[in-house]
Amino acid sequence: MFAFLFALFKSDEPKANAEFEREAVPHMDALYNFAIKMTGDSDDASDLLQETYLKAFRFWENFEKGTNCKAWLFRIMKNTFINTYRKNKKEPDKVDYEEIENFYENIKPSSTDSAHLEKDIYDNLLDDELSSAISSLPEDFRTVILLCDIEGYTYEEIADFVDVPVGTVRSRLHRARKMLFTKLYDYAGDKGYVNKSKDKR
Amino acid sequence: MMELRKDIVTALVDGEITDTTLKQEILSKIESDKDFAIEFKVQSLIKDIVKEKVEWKKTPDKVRAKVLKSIGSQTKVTGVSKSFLTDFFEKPAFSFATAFVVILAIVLIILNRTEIVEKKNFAIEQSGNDNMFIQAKNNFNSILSGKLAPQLTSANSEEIKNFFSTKGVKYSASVPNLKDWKLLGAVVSEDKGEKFAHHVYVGKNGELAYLFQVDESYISTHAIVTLSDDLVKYLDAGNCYTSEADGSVTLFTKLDNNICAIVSNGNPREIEKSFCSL
Repeated sequence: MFAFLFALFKSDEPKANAEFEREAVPHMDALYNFAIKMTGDSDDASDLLQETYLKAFRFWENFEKGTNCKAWLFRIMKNTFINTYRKNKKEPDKVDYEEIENFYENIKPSSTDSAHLEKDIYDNLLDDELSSAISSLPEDFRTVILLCDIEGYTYEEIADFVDVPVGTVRSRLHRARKMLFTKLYDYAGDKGYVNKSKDKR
Repeated sequence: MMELRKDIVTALVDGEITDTTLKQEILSKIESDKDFAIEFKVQSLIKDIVKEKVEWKKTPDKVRAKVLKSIGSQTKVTGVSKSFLTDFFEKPAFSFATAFVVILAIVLIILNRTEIVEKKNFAIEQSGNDNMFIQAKNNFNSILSGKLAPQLTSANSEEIKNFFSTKGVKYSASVPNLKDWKLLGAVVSEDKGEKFAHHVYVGKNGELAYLFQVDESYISTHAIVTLSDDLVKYLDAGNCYTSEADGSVTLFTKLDNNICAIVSNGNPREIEKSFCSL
């Protein structure tokens, strides 16, 4: 038992804790924002963040020092999200992409001069409205948008993160932005910033 | 000249096109083709809106405190980092006798928790030919005895994933590249009309690690492969389960939606280190 006590006091834990504090804790804001967008709820985001850090702390010795700690934490968060928040939903989100594509083709402006493509008209959108539009995207599409447009990851980094080929990342981003366009177009139309009946094909 | 797909404009918007000839080709296409021009505008517009308008929230202090508290009081965000024990025993109110009692209590709690963890012997709950635990162990023994050879020999994870998908595995199988382990090859098996993904790694000292993965719906919904509910719940909670017997270690963990069984003749601690946090 005394050997055990000696080991307890001599353990490397304080060093590991200091490393964790230095490497992992500074990424908390980025992870919290990702969690908010993934769950769409601040309480769930807080729980997801906590679970992610607990797992990261528990497996800290497995983190390869010198590699991208933020990407490692994001990966843990994504897996935790899938395991915890989707565990009652056995099948991943199914998207009727054909329907979305048809809708997009229907509302797509007929020329690049269209008012629908002017950024100014979307400036009045509230952050909540944009967040809610992003949150309503199917998970695969939401993830690539968040990682690319908010976190600034390259396609290769995203491909590694979501474990799909780079070509799939590109096509998901392409579709995700089209979906988001249809949603923002609806918001802007409902607010009267654009006239939905005009400027369609 | 190859016909350009519309999603190539997305790559252009994201600054992913480095080939100047291709970049020029896309720009010309945008100039000459109205549909491409509109796609380019839509993609740029949405990227700009998301980038500029999504509000960056700071983690609320309450949440930050909750997270830090949960990972232990030894991790302090500010100030001099001092271990909990050092800090605790520096307080004069604690005599040596009190300290001894506290240490004894901590030791007993830790020893008791270890015992509880060790008692989680899910291995004895597994039985039947459809059981994933049993199948994984049998398959590994067949690999060792040379009865089961890889249908594809490759060290390339993408090639192995393509192999799974072309051979009819319906779920998304992950083939992680691991430090200290080299991919060796893969096998696709068939059971009740469904295809299953298996692949093998070789370690630095020639030890083998065999990984069998199934989408959790095959266990929970379709019951084509079985696994005890207790073990499934244990894995769902984010745990990793290891069992050692007959000179091999069997490890269960979850990777995305897949339940993975890893059987190896390598060092159990090394196996846990490599595979528990896939």
